[in-house]
Amino acid sequence: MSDLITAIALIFGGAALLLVVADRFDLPAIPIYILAGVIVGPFVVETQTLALELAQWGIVFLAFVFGVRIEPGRLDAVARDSYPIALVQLVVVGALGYAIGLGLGFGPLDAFYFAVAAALSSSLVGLELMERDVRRNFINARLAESIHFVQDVIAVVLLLLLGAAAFTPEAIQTQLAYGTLVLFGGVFVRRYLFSVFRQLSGGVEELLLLTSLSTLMGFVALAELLGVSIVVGAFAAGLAVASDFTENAEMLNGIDSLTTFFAAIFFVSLGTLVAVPTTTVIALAVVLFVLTVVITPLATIVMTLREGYGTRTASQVGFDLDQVSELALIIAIEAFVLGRIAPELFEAIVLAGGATMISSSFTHRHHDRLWRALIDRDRFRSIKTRDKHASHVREGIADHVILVGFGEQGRTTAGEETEAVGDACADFGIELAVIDNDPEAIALAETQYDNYVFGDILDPRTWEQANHESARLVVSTIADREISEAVLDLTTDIDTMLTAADSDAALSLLERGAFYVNVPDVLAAEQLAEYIEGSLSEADYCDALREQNISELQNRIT
Amino acid sequence: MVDAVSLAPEFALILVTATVLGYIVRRIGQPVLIGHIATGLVLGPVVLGVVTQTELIEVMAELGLGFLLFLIGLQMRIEEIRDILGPIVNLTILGTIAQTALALAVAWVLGFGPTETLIIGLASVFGATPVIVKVLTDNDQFDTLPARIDIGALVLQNIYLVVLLTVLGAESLSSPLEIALSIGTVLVLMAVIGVFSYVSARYVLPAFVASIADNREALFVVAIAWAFLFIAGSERLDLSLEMGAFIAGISLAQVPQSIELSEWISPITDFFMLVFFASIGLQLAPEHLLAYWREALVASVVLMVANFLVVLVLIYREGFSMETSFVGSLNMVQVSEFSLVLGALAVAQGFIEPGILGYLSLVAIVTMSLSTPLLNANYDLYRRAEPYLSKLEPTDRRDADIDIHRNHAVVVGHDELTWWALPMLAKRFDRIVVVDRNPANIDEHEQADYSFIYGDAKHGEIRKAAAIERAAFVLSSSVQTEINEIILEDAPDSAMVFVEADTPENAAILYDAGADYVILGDALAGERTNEYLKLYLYDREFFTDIVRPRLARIRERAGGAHGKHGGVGDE
Repeated sequence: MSDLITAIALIFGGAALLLVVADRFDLPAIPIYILAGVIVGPFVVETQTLALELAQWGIVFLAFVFGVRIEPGRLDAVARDSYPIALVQLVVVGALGYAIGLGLGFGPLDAFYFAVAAALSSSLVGLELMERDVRRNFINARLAESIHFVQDVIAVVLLLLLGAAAFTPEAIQTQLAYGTLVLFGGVFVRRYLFSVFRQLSGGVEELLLLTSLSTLMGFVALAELLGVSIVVGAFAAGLAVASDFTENAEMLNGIDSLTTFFAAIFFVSLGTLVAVPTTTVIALAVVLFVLTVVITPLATIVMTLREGYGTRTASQVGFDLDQVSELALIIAIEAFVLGRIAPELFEAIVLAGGATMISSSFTHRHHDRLWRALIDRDRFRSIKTRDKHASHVREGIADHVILVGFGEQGRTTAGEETEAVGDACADFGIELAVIDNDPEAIALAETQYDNYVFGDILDPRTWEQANHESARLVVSTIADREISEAVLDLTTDIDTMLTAADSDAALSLLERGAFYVNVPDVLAAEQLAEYIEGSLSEADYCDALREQNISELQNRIT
Repeated sequence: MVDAVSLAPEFALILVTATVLGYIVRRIGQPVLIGHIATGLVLGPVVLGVVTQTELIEVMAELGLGFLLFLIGLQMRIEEIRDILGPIVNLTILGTIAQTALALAVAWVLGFGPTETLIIGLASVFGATPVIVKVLTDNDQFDTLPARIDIGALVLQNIYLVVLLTVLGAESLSSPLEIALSIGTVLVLMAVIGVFSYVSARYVLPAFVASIADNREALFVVAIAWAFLFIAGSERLDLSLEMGAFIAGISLAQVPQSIELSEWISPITDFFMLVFFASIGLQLAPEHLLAYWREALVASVVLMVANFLVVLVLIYREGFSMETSFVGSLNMVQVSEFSLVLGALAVAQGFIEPGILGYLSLVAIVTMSLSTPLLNANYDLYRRAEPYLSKLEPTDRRDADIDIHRNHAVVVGHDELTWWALPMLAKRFDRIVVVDRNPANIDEHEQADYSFIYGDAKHGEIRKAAAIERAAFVLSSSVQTEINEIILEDAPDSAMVFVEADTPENAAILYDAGADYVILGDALAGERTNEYLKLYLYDREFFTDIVRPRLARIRERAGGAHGKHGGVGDE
């Protein structure tokens, strides 16, 4: 018992120390856990069995949370573009990985594990790195999220298939049948039973958390009973639990905190299984590293360009996938536990996993430099794009206003969106050209304006298309420092009206030569001052304000 | 090496049974804790006999205790009970002595042997935190004076119980000398750990925690590592792991992130404690549980009545009103959950036979279940008793006012939006509470003249601390719709609630949820930019004149004016 406590103390102690250091460099947590495991490994050998038992919980909770977080329909808009990208990338890298695996002298099964590790990328790390863009719903984030989603679903299917007792057609068929059964069970519970539990619990959050854990246990037991991987069971349980945050906030918090706890134990335990690597292990890890860090992004970039996106978007998406998936690690450890994978390959996968997750945070941080190097070489010019996101600018346009970003703020700025604001440029007989990298936004611009450019805002060619040299004013509605600075660099002789997230950023843009900078929060605060004053002094003011705003809102919602 | 990827079936059984029983006890209005204890009894030898204690269950139960004590330590924020600290100290000391004496007397009268009597006496301290907190929160009484007194007393009582736990963990208790010696050792070692923890809490932890405070996961892992550092340390020193966990918690309790941390630790604690409470039942054979059932019933009733009277008198003695004393005492008429912890430890140490643990379990179940309806009706019962009791109370006696937030303004999130709004709210409201989870702002907040709570408003604890349910005005600059929806749910109908949204769709959702005004920053900014664009196109110079004052304000805010408040827009 006290051995286990020492082991947990070591696991968390090691992880904590390294995490504090890693925090300075903004590194993701998972590779740090693995590294901590490699370091404390020799000290916890005796308690490995018990620690591994706790680590199982980590696997189960990770799969569970993945299921809980799925929001059907949220990413439908980009699915048409992202699914082909995801599938082609998987097939290309997977096939290449498989061939290399065979070439390295592995049997078909080991080669397959090798290919899986090379092809799947980590949604936990990828989306954590892209968190800011995800929050702002940028097109690159939506594409990446959707690709990660496809990969994760495929990983679950692979877990199901690779868990088969034997790799005969019958056994695989049974697996598939049982797996589908379990997954449908999850959907069934979410549809029909979970709301009943909610009602019975009378809103006692403790009981709801308990219910969700019981559901997890139930599905894991069901999976075990049917001989299906418990990961599939846990995923199905996640599907069964309704994730409506407002109604189940404490339950979701609880699941989150338990997941963090057990996942940490899992990843550290994974690290402890890696001994001092031999040359073979290192060589294997290097090959895997190259496949993940070079081939996967390249394949993705090419595919994304072919779908008609700009080079920066494509490169952002590609370099968000350049790490080994945590689900690939789970696939590897299941195989390891069943004795189905060569131990050296297993160690190489874990090592490459940690290494790529760390390198991924570097490629993310220095992304724009990477991207510039890629477009400077002009390798991607020759790629044929499906020309569906067209640009159109009148020949010889001059003395016009360029509007960067056609989101909510951009549309309102241009006008015509609501009755309250008129079309700013048309009133003065001046032409407007819209620039955006989001196909949806450009499609909207197309319906309202004659001039619109679909392309990366950081790419000079986009600006050439908009004939920026002879523009009169550039208005940017995107509160992103990189984009604002790029706009300033590209438009040295033209007045710019930019947007910044806060006054500090605004000031630095003004100092760099912006003509004027908006801070939405400050503008909102001014408005707010009036509303708060009014609401607190007059009885009916607030109701009237509410009525008026709701009716204005109807116009905005398209 | 495990042979296949699988999870312990016995644990699954415990969890599922506890859930089912949880729904049942919920139906009959009992706290979930009772369901947990019953789980062990149902699955163990008493009823079905399908689960036996395995090593995993023991480990999990032990971890549960560790986490529980860590959490209790983490919640020891002395400043929250400072205004009633004096009375509470008296109440706790006298109350604990009186309760132990009563329990000793009852056990002796019931004919238990000397060691049994001693253990029963020590283990029969009253007041179960999970029951009291749960029922009072459900009844919206968490911020009442009696509740504050009870919680404060329980916090202090925990210190005593942890010491007791450590003493009982000592090798043997055969002679008074050994007891004294072991108490002495415990105290010395505690002092050593305590000094270490004090020094780190004072000089190391705040800066250390602040450096990683924006990284939720790192903070969480560091907190757990901190707990296990102390747990493993105490084990090395032959102290109970509970002691180490408790001290680790106290030392972390003083950083501003502690409420947030306890929100993250408590689900893990619940998870493992469930196993702990179930494991009590698993240890008991039917003959053990029922060995002393008559004694248990008699003791339960006698102790409940006697404790109620004693605590009533003790609270009243401290100068509180009869109503407060009555309710405060009635809330505490159940045996502490520590009773089972101490009992289980005493059995493990061989001081008592399992039958005594059965007796303690029965007393716990009986007093906890009987007390729940009493707690639910606490103020009603007082109304009934009032005609008789008020004769005893001098007419001029009144409770001191306790400091709670009411009709105040709550500001969630701290960005430029709220920064500009704060001075205006300050003119209108006597009290403003700012909830912010951005560690970079902590210094700014601590120097400001409003109350400040560090944490994420999506956590219930945080919203409770900000007393959103009693606010008159709420301004949230979070654009997370789900957080704003919870805030709207918490806020009273009478409150004016302004929230922010990132898209028109979410704004519509928030209006549906009852928001008085939804700030749509992008749209507001768009409208203003549209205006500016027109002005610019009309006349560039004119535009420059118009925006000059606003540029000055941006410079003021950015140019080191943080923390000072500027005026809000005059146009």
